[in-house]
Amino acid sequence: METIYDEIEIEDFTFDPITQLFQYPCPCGDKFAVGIDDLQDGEDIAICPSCSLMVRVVFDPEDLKEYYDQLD
Amino acid sequence: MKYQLLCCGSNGSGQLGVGNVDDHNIIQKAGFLSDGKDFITSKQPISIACGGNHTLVLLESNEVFATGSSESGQLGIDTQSQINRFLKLDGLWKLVSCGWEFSILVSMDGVVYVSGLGLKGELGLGKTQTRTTKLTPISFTFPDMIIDVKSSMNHTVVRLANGDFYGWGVSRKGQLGLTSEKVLWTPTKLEFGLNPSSYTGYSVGKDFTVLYGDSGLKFFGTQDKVQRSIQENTVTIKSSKVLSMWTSIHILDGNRLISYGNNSHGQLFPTKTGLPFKEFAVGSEHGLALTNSNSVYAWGWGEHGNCGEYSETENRDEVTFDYLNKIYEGDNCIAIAGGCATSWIVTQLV
Repeated sequence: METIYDEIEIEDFTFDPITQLFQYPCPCGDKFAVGIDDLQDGEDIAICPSCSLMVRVVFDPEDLKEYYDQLD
Repeated sequence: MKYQLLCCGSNGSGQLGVGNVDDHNIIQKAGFLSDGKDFITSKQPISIACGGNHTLVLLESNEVFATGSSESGQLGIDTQSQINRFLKLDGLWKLVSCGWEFSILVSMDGVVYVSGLGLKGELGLGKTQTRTTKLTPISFTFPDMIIDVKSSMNHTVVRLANGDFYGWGVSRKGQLGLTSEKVLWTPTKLEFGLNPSSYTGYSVGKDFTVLYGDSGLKFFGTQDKVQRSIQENTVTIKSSKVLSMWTSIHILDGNRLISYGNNSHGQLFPTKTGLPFKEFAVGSEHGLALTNSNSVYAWGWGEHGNCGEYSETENRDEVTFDYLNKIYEGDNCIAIAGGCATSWIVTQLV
């Protein structure tokens, strides 16, 4: 069964400029993750490496600018 | 009296305390006392608190045992990045709760100690201290005795004997009541509209707090699916017990359980009748029911074994348990608890 578990605003994710990943807690104990470039490319699903759950990232493309600014 | 602590579910960081880091879909014995290797204790476990990857167990002797991930200091003990058997913490404690990567312990004289990581105020130690690897007191004097403490992913609500609520952590979604702040960095008196004494109890979910009492149920925070159901059903139930998963609420109404919220993986209680149960508990996205005949059933999201074994018949899988699945039957069960894809059962041995 492929269903989106929840929808999470980008502001609630933690962004790591080193790995360039947005992360958010998964109810299994691991973290949902999605790369900033994937979001830029139109992807909006963050996946958990330990289970099948997925969340949709709620964001506007212009939201990404402040995070790209952190990369330098 | 002798007691055993049983468990199953997610265990990648040793949070089950069973001596390994494998997930289990069959009930295991958790070892604690004497270096975590004794399975039987004469002190009754009275509270089990679970974070993302760690677990605290409070015994009636006021001792606290901890296991699981210590990566962010959430166990409050000087140890390697994780342990897979319960170790005793120093001190005696009255109440415990856990959030994502932090622990909250209330000492016998009412001081709140915290440990772990909280980038958004979860530790209550102020903006300048967002991480501590040892149990650290919050230098705040509560005006009355703390009688309850509950934490969800990143907020904590305590209740005082005079009825007042205090809280800290993320407040942006309204989960800490009426405030314009995005984060409450230190313990703050919370405003939930009505006089606090009109609420008999409360429960915390991922981005919300639910309060209930004779005047019904009040929801603070964000969880679209719960809010929509509450509106559609005009919830006026006067319940004695409401518990929250991360994205749903579960209301005890007489001997029925009424669930509202996210049902992506069968989280809403699957039956309106049948199954007389005497106790229920919830974890992050699954629930547990203890029947009068000492069986424990699980429902909801069970991908890590926390809802037990699944039957391959009837097109079922290990992910979604939109039915009641028996995970235990046997000795006298006296308590059940749920964590982040973990299930816990306390039994009393004859």
